Amino acid sequence: MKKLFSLFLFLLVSPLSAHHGAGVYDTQTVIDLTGTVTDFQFRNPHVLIFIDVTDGSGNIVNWSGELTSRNRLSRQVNGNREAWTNNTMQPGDTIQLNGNPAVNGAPFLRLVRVATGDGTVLLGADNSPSGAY
Amino acid sequence: MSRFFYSFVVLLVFVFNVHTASAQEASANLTPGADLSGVWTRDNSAGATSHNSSWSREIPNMTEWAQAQFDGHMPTFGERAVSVSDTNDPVYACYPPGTPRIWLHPFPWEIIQMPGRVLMIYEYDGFIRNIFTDGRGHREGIGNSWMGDSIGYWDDDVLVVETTNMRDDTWIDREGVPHSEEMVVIERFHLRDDNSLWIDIEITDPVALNEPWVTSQAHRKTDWTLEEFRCMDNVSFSEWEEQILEYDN
Repeated sequence: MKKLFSLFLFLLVSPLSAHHGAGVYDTQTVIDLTGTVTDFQFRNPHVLIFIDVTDGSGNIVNWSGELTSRNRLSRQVNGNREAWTNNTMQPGDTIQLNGNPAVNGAPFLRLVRVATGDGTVLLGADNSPSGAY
Repeated sequence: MSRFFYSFVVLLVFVFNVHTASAQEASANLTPGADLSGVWTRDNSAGATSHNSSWSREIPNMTEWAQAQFDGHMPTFGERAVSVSDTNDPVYACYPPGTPRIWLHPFPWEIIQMPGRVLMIYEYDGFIRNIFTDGRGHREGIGNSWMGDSIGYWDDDVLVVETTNMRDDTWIDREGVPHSEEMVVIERFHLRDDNSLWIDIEITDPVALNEPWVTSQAHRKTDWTLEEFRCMDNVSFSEWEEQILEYDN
């Protein structure tokens, strides 16, 4: 199986969220995950994406990632991507997530990039952070 | 006792002067000198002196009373920042940020101009400031409120807004600077040639500040509509956050 889990040094961080205090996420690290959407919550104060990811041992882990607010994504103020709607993704879609992992090892991410299974970037850099940063 | 008496005298002189000045200005300048209407969003890149969490890079010149309050405040921004779980910032408990702190929260807002009145609507928790520009003075006997009592007048093409009667349990900024019920906020809204909207702000408070805190903030116009953003959504969202913090491998 294609490698699903890799770590990259992430030098420039523009926080998507000011809601959390410092220290929840490891902002020096970006994880690259691909999986199947199980839930998409287009809400305030932060949009949430949940995906099932199969790890190297064949176990399925449900990861979740947070973005900025529904209002900001619906205005597309984070770059030149399409404005998001509540139909931007559906359960069952394949999605690639790049984000800062939780410091305590929990399967939670602060997302910095979201792309569809066919490579269309929905938010963040054109390329996966391994190439972009 | 002497400090209280001094503050009282300062307040009397200050309020008298402000009321007199406002009434004179307002009676002569009720006609809008500019069209400021639209949905605006803060532009930190424009060179204004305010930034994401406060009105200046330096802590203001505070009184002893204010310093004691400040020392007990645990903000999530600035040099004394603590985590959200440790903060006593009232906004994290969904209390209103008040005037002028509402400007430090990065959400769009809208100006609606109408005869005798300017409405400022803030996306953050749907706050509204009802600013009367019909020449009236501050209302008497209304007590204090989160956003205060605002009256305005036009100084040529500048909308001048004076706000009083604010509760003393808000912070002036997001770094924990306190104020008293005697705070007066003067905001001057004006357009620049590039159609940016600037707010020049002067915060005076004889109990908390040894000198006025003078600052500015820039905004750019957008084609957005204001959406709903309610602080109480943070409460249900915190269930997800707690799962992170309580995660046990």
